[in-house]
Amino acid sequence: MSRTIVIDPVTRLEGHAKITLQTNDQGEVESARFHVTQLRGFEKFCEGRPFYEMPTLMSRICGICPVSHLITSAKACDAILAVRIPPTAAKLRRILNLAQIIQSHALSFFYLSSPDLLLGMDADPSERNLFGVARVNPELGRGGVRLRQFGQQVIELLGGKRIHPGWVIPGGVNEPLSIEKRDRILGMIPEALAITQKTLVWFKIRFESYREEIRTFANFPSLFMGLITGTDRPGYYEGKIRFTDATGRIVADNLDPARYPEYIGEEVEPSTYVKSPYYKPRGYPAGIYRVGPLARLNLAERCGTPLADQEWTEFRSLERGAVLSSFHYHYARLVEILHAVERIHSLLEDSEILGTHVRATASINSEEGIGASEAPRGTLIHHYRVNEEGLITWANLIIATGHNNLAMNRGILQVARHYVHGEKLTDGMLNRVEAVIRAFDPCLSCSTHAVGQMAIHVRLVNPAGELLDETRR
Amino acid sequence: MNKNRNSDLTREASAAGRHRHILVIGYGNPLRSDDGIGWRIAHELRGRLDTSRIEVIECHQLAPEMADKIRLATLVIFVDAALEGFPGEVRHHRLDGMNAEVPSMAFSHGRTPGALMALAADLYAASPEAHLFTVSGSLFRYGEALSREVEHVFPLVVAEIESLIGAAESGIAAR
Repeated sequence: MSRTIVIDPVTRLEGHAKITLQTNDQGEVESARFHVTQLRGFEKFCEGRPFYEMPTLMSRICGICPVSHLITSAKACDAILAVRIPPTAAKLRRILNLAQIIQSHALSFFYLSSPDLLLGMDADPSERNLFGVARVNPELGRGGVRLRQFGQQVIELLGGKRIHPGWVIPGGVNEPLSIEKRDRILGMIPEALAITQKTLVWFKIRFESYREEIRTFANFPSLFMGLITGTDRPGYYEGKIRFTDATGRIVADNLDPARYPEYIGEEVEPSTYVKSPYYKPRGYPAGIYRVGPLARLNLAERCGTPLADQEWTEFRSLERGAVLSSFHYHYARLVEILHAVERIHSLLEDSEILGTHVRATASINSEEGIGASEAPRGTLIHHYRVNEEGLITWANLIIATGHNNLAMNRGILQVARHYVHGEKLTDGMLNRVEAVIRAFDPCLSCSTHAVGQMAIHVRLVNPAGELLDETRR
Repeated sequence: MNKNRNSDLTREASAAGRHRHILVIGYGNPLRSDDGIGWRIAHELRGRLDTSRIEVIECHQLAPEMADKIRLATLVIFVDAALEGFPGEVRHHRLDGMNAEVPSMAFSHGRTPGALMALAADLYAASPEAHLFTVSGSLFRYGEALSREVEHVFPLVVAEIESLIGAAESGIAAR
């Protein structure tokens, strides 16, 4: 008998979601859907607000990646002012963005996914959480806490507070960096580097234990998209859009992020509040692409810092073309943390970083502004229109997680077909279906987040909608 | 409790504890009326205590990173609002991180002081004296004002925590 399996809520994600699997009469999974069940509505309720309020307002979208929204929103506002911000301000924003990537990646890897990676996908759910990690490998747990603290402390030192800092403003930042703060951050760099390198060694040894997951976790050909700076490095703060395919071939390059509507389409599915972006020239849904750490390392030809470049070379040697398994988002995240720590170091040693000219001022010079940057989970785009008084008349946000929506759905189907069979459901099966989503680290625009064991509610429903079975954990 | 405690960490925690520090964590949502009592009390204490010796944190929720602060503390005081109990009821619990029961919902939206103490014990072999003060609320709607009952006990809780800190500081000074 065919049936529907619902995993609601999906655990250890940032936000709220559920997964529906539809099986056929043979008990094989036929379709899978990832539903984001919360509506935020930021694009609508910011209408009528002055544009200069947008960075602060938009940072409230999330408590995990507020800095990404803050920076991208400020960049859209820079475009409305039509200013080029002072070089010192751009470098300070870069540091802040990299710190955001570190703290978010540390949360994803250590708090959300390390229970699966250390204890195993089939471990007792009551142990498969940060407490289990702390008991079995306290050094790993301590490393995660320290790395996340590092990112948060950099954000706090620059922006005044760890969550929702208001330091980035249209035209630059509102305060230069002091020598004391610079030196405090520099003092924390060696420990952050050491933890990251040690974790990379630990993680790479474990690949052998996860061969099946590597083979089946959203491992399929797709396009990859992200910002590239110069000709070959990931552009975390700025850059031009590049698309590559599964072989690593460049499909489109040097695309202006401000012209995103020309090459990114957005479909709306009735089953979820997340839109489904796609690469327009290939149509929907053939234009499926992935963003985020895996994509960035696939798009680039190096990271641009010595230690991360070594890791990047090793990472790319996993496959002949692009690295296709989404399980390796975890690996890419660690490489990116390493790069971010190194890059923060070099930026802080730049002679311009203590400059005091950190803000450009202007009136409204454009009635439209688009900002783009790389958030931890991928390319983030803010697009605003204002009237002559500078009040927002329209806004469109393309959130990093949204880019991956099609890929996450396809990944769930792949994992479910491989692991979910017959009438009997096991926790390990369901955990793998959730874990493939965790690999993408979706941020479902929630200011709070689940970091451990939450209740899973599984309902078995026949095609007529009748409840056949129900379990809770 | 982790059996393989890192002796260096234990020494570091004890050495740090000799000259510092007391940690006060008041948490809740100050835009949700009585839910903000923990935050409000922490804020009040920040203005009354010597923050060079006592660290005060006001926050929306407890985070795993706080375990790193707990490892350096000799006394930890949590302050939170409570749904249960009669409005204005103050409860004072002594927490035991070594034997804290980690709830099944641990480290989701509902992380608890006990869970945080347990995490500090597992990660750092740190088990400082810890207390939880809760004040039962009656008003949890949008707003910054406390209900009359909670406002009434506010100074009493502040005084009780100050007294606890004073006693702890006397003990530290005597050592």
